[in-house]
Amino acid sequence: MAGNKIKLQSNDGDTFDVDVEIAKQSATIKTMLEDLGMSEEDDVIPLPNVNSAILKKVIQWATHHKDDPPPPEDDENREKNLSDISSWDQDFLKVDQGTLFELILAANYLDIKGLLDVTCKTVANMIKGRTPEEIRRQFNIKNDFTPQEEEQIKKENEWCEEK
Amino acid sequence: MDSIQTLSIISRSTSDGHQTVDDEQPNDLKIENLQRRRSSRLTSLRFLPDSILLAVFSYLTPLDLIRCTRVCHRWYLLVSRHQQLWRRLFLRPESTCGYIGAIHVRHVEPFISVLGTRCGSALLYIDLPVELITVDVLRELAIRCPNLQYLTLDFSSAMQLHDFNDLYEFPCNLKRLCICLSEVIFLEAFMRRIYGYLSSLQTLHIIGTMEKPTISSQDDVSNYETINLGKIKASAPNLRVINLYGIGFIDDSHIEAIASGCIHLQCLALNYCIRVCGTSFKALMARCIQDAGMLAVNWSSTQLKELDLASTELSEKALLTL
Repeated sequence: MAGNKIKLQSNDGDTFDVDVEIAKQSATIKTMLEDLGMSEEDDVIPLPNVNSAILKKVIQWATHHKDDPPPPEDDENREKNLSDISSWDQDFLKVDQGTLFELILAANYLDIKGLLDVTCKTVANMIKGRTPEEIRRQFNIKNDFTPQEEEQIKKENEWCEEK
Repeated sequence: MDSIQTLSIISRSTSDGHQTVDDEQPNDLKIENLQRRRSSRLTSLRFLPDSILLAVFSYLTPLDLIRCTRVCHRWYLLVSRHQQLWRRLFLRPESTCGYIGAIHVRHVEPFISVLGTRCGSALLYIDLPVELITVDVLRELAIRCPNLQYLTLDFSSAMQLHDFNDLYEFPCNLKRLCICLSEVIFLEAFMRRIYGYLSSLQTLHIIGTMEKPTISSQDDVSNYETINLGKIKASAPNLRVINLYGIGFIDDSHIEAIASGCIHLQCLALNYCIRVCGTSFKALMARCIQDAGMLAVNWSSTQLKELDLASTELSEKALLTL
């Protein structure tokens, strides 16, 4: 029946009441509930890898997507499409990079495939069409190649040299 | 400085066991670094595990992937060691407007070795512009890329065909073959080397030259029968979908031949094949009903006035049979 709630507890101690059906979009929580029989009302599910700000976002996402059909299994043969992020998700993911990466880690830990897919796509969009230097700046990555290594890689890519 | 040190630690840990990254800074795991990491929010891409970075990379085209190899050690190792990222190679930037990240191959020799090392058995899809349709490339694809299923051979800009007398290997697990014709180049010298490898084909696209701006004055030029449909049909008994698009020389006799030969045919599209008048459709229909085939012929744009009547009449029939 509808309305069954469970409590999720973030690593900084806050608890959130969430509909069971919404929480079950997380395969991790689903497994906990089904395999460990954690279904009593006052059970609290601790989520030691997620802080409350992120957990709040995750619940917000899962609530919006509660009626989505289950995401299709990964088909190795299917081409992955970068441009099919819904406008709600686009708005939802207009966050700073730190939050975006924490959402990815939370989606990974909670095993919420839809959220993981859309966040990974968002990062991929930030890489697409950029030069290595732009990518480094975007993500604050240090160029840790020696000049010799750079030369070597340049050589490896010679078959399609861009410039 | 903090970030620099942490980065080198992370990149070391991802490349454990590979000697490529055994340079400086073995013991910079300072406590303060760890503390910083724990107390402050995770703000950097470098804290994402490899599996997630690979998931991100899986959305990128080869062109972007190549750029990624030049970002840093960790990315280089991840991208160059995971063949499954290299499933598709788009090599015709001219015909795709760069939209899908097509790569312009400048040097064929290193390209051939990339096929084996980066792509290997992961490669599913490749499209080759005419300058890459060579004995060496096709041989490498046949040997190193056994899972190749989708192959496009674009002869449309061909001025002259390579010599294929030494072609003894060709990908043999293809599901789909797409051939873009040239107006004036006869493909038989090439085709007769590959007929023997087509038995797994389920889908055949042959793209004519209708959309190409003709160099000479219209008409006749595009009517050279540059490819032998009958022979392809005979060597690809499992064809389910045949798409003939804008091919000037296709007429009803070709359709009749298809009708009589392809027992698995489910879909035949003849868009912009302007010489097809429809007299052959009866045979096609008869054949397909007999074989309980589902016919989904795309009549819509078989083009031009005198066809219209025949096609509509037949499409009604097609509807009735379903």
